[in-house]
Amino acid sequence: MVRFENVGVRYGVGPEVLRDINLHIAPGSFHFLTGASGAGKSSLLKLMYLALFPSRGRMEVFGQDISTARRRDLPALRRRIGVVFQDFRLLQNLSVFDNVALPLRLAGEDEKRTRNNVSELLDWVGLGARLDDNPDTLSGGEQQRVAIARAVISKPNLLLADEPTGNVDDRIAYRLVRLFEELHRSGTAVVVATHNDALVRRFSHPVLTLTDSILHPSIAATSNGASQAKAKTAEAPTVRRKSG
Amino acid sequence: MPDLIPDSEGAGRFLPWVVAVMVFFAALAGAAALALHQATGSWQHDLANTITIEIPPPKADAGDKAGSAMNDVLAAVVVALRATAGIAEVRPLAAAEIAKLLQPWLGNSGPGGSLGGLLGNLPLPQLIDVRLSENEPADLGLLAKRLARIDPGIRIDDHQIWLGKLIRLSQSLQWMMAACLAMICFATCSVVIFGTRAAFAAHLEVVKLLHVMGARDSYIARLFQWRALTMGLKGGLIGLAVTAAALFALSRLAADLEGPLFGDLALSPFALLALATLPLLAAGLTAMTARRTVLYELSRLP
Repeated sequence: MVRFENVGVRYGVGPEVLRDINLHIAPGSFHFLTGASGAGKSSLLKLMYLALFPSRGRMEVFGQDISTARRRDLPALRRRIGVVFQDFRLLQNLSVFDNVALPLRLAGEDEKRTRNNVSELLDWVGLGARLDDNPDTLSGGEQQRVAIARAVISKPNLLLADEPTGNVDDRIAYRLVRLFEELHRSGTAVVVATHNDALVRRFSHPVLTLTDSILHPSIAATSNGASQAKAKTAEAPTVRRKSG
Repeated sequence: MPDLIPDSEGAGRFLPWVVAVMVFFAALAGAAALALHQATGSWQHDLANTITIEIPPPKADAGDKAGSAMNDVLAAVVVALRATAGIAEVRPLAAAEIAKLLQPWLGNSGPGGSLGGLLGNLPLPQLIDVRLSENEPADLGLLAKRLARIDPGIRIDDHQIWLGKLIRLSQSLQWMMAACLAMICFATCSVVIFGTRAAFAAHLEVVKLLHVMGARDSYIARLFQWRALTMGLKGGLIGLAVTAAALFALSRLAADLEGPLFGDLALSPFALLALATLPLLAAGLTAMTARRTVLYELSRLP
């Protein structure tokens, strides 16, 4: 689904913020992406959702080599990717309904079906009564649910979440990851970037760790120390086990 | 679909007013060019098949016989003209008509249009309007020889020198007006590019979000294009309204002049219709410029 080979990224003439990244995100997999602030987690996610192109190396998304892809083919690839941003990026001049409906409308979906799907999804995330409200009237947690609903409304093949747990307490963070797991069970590959190691340890999903601009795939362990990893990652040059 | 790029944030709110000013200047330049084009055609048509014969006034020492001598020459000239092939109509101008021609330069003639006062005492030439046949070319060389035998001072004016100068002047002015229109278009495009870039920068986060969600470049460009179209149309209509008022005032002033040339400068219905399309052209120009600008800016995103 997503494959990186010796990918490097630099902004302008600065130093490389990502170096020699080798990565394979398989369909239906679930990964955590961890690393200290500034380690390059956001840049790696940007590469995956095609908001950034590598300075070197080979990158393949949904079987398409990005270096040879035509510009007019990229929007269709992007529509297969859902993104939850840390700062939500909801459009404040649109209602909750219109924010969530946006990906479907961009894809040219039938308006009646859009209406039904959006209403159903907002009911599912508990915001069925806030359809016509503007995002700035919602709490942070509610805005986050709108952002997640917008990311998944078009049933993406790949869901990327950039620090979705950054502004919430541990209980909400745990519930959010459980929500991502539910989407994952329906076949969506999920990558959750977080610096919350404690949260990562509560789940058994493979962990990709960025250290000094280099990616280290690793297998997560649950808090009781038992490895439950069913890593669907491939091409792991270094595999380390996290201690509980 | 709700408005993803709200214009309340003001980056391009000045655009309608700029377009209004541009349309006003463009309409004035266009009106001038159209009026001159129309007048040139009219002058060419009116004068192409006509010549004027000018019989010089009698010499001052002719005394009382001056009047009858002039009449004799006139009669001989008319006979010679009618005997020449290719001449369709011969019409000697009455004294009142000659006086009217001189009126803008020498002042009012006497009561009833007859010569009087200063004009009555001046030695004036006799003029004859001659209309040439459109089917049979006249031999003006032969005619000149015949008339010279009657009176060597008789002149044949085929208007070509005067008309040529006038047409060259008119065409130069039309080219200048066209250059003005081109500069106005250039200035309008520059302002639209500047305004669109400002609006693009103001909405960059929204644009990036749409881009990441898979919006095509043409879709995002259309958001800005429609906004520019409505603003351009609004500005164009304001500009046209001001132009209409200005042209109405100018036409009233021109009517007061009552000159034979100014009558030809009145705009035809076709010219007025052409001017009325200016707001649409301005809106189209702003929309296309905004579209090209946004597509260029988007090409810099991955």
